[in-house]
Amino acid sequence: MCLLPAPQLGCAGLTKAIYIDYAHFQRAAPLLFYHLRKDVFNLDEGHYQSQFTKKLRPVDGLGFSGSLFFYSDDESFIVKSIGRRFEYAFLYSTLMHPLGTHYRENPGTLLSEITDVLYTFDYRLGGYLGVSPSHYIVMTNVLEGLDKGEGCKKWDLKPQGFFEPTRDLVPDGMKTEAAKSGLADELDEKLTLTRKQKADLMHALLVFVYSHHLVLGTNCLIGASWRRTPPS
Amino acid sequence: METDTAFLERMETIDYSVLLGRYPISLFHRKTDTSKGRDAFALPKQGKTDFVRGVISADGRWVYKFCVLDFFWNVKQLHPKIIKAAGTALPEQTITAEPERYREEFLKYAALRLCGKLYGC
Repeated sequence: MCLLPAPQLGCAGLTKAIYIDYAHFQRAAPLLFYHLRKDVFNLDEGHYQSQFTKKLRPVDGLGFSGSLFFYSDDESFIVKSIGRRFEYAFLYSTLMHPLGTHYRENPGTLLSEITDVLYTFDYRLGGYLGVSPSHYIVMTNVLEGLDKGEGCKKWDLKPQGFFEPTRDLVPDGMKTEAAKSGLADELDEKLTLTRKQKADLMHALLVFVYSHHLVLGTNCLIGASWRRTPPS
Repeated sequence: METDTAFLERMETIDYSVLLGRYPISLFHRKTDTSKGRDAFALPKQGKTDFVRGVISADGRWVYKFCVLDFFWNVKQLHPKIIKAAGTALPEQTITAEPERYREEFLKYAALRLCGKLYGC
């Protein structure tokens, strides 16, 4: 795969035609993503554009969904294919612009930073065979440099026991070992976060998920305590 | 995280996950180098809480980075084909097409795994 610079097509030089697998790719909503990169993610546009003037490198061992992953030149960005129709249809029809608003209105968001959406309508043999996706997203590589030293480790965490098509519908013979065993990792060590960090991370979700339980539980506890040690 | 999951629920998505990375703090430096874009190894400031760019662990040994990934699974898009097929093929499997339930399970799971317990974090 290679991404080559091509003549700029207006929009203050934002829209740049690029080639992946010699297909002609276009940017979806170029202005939306330009302003997100500039105003919200605070990325250097010159550095960003330079990332896609050289050959992208395939990434091994990322995800089990069948998506293709590529590193940008210095690995600060990841290009990921969105191969399933229900995923990219949703991305274009529903998600893209509300997502932009969400990034703007929630500076501390944990959602991965999507910096571009790319598509092609070119006819390609791989497209017909279903092995060369036509839709990609570009994301900042949150775990950049994770392979640079001993002691680095990553986990992909989500609740187990839910339906997952790659694991549940694809015959075993066609799946990777990781996919067979389930897609999520088990967090095999205790995180050493400070109380404040835990509180910051968990406050919002605890308020949401357990608000009813907490209110009820707290009331019960206060009630029990009151009965045991009545105030003087 | 609550506003993020609320957003994803509003978008009726499921199957998103938390990506967590742990780095030894020795890889990080105090002086930020932005000459080549964002500096991935700029030492997070003590007391500043930015989970995507990194937070220093309580014992000072690690930097943790977090983000929420894979939020393109929309139940309306999934319903017609996959969920129906899965329901028939895998009656014993827990299948949810309810964003609210996924959100609750996700938050519970994150609270248990990342915080270690549900209360008194």
